[in-house]
Amino acid sequence: MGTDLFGQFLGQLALGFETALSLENLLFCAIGVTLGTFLGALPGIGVLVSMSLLFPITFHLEPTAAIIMLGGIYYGTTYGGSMSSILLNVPGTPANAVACLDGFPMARQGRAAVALSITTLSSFFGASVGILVIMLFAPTIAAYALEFGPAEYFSLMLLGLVAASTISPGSPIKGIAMVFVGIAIGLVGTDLNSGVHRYTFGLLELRDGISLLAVAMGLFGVTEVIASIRTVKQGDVSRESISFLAMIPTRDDMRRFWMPSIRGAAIGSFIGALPGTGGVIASFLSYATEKRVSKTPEAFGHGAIEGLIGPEAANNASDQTAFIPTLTLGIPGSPALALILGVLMIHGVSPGPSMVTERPEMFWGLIMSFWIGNAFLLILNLPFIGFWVRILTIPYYILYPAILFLVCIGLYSVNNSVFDMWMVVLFSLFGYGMRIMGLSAAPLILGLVLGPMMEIQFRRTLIFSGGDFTAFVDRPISAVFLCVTAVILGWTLLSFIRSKSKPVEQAAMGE
Amino acid sequence: MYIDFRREFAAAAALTVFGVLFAAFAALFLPLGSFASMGPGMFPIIVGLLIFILGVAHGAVTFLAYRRAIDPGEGNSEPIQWHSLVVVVSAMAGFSTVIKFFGLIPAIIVLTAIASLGSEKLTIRHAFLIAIGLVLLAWLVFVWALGLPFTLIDWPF
Repeated sequence: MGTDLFGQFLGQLALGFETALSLENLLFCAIGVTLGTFLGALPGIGVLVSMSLLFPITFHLEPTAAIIMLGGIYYGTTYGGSMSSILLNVPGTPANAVACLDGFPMARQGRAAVALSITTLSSFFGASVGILVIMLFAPTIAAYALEFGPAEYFSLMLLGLVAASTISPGSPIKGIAMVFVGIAIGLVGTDLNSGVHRYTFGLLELRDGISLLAVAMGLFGVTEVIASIRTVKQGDVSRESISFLAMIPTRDDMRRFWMPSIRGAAIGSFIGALPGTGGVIASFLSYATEKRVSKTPEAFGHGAIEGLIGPEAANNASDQTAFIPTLTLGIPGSPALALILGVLMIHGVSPGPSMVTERPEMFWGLIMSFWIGNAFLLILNLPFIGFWVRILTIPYYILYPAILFLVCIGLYSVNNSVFDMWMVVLFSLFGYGMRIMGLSAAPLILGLVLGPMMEIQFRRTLIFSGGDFTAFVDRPISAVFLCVTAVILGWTLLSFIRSKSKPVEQAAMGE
Repeated sequence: MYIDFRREFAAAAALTVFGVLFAAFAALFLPLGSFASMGPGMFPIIVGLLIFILGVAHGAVTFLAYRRAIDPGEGNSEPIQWHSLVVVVSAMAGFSTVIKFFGLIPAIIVLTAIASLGSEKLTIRHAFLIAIGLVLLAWLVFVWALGLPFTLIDWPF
């Protein structure tokens, strides 16, 4: 690597910091991570609910500020989510579920304060490693991806969708079906090639497609409220044990801190960058790893601090590296990133390999804002922890009117359109129906965002090849993506059939 | 947790019907074109058919599991929260209707009032305080900070 290249890299970092440190972006980064921590800490409000509740606000901002704030909400929830895992034994977000295993026993032993502070430290460590990985690899991947043609894009999107819908728990058939339902919903509106209106039923409001906002809010925000009003129980936390002094880890704690953090960050960085995987899988893998390498595996589940440190480093690292495929290829690996991509597209920015060269201030500004956001989170979570602990005790019956209010006013503020409001009502009904039938909404959102792009690339490939389907396997990269897709599909279906064909009792087949 | 087979069959049926309708719409109303030069209906018909196939597959898998199950029963999965569903949907519908004619403040009050019926723990006094808080929040965030042109209160007659 020549000095020129290095100088160029430093120049881009400087540009990024300059963007991220502008007063406006700094402010929205702080607001984003604060709101993210707040909503993440509340049980029953995960990352998707938080993002869909707050992204109308980002609508009214400059694109760079909007994406910085939305990013802050996204990784802020993971910090907040571990608090309710540790103190209430209820994961604030699914990625923090593992933190319950050893975090809650630690709290029962009177070490809640240390559990919280060490979690924050390992989260920060994991996130830092993740950001370094983005800085090193994202520009290279983007440069490589400039070579991609429509066949590669189509195959990669298919791979991402299949991976995301089959790796998550539950029936893979239903997961894949929901991806296609999402694609179907994404097809509503004007066909870009022919100008024909599809599935609009004569409604002019549907010409531009169904609003991603309305779908996300209905399927995540409102559906969650309907399911939670009568079921969520109020948290009960003793506040006395969380003093600032009690938060200082012992020397022994710090000695046990580094290796799990490093392993967790490595696992998380790798898992996060893959399509379809994310914080949940990263944290489970890290927990399993820590348990395996530990000399005292029997302590796990009874307050082993390694079981808290590793997974929390892993899920925060994966939150950061998940941005790699989204920013460099324009292909989100998880529903949360699909929402971020959707918001970018609404702002007229199409992320992809050309973003690095065409919008360097946005690309590097966002990455540098991750440093700032994580530094804010460190401050928010260490000295001000007492405040967040109080948040956990807000009863749900006070929260849910506020959530509905955010949905309504947020959506209405975007277009002042009553039609959009009825769409959110419709999708709330759909969303609750889907929940009752066990049909997951997360793959649907991925399909919805990727569907229109997939159709374009699919058509382009076949126009170039004159209708010849071998075009998808002729190009080696595309062929590799399709092979991996086929392997994942085959492996999932095989293990699914195997699990179903065992003569099991009903009870074992449930969750 | 027991599988609720009725819900699984309902999911299969919903997917199947959606897939068929989606593909049928494309076949009837949209030009298909050829693979070399696809019309607006080609991709939708493929998507619709795939959903249909997956719906049928889910139905078949569920049916096999149902036959093998020792005691299918009714399952004890998450109960349907009819009350919450009706309250939440009415609250949002109320907001949508009121904001068009009377402006933001009455819409927030209507939203909170209807939503408060959802939980018996939420007293009228609490609901009242929440409504005031939300009106202030709306003004602070959306009108003052973001500078959006909301009509706060209006009388259409």
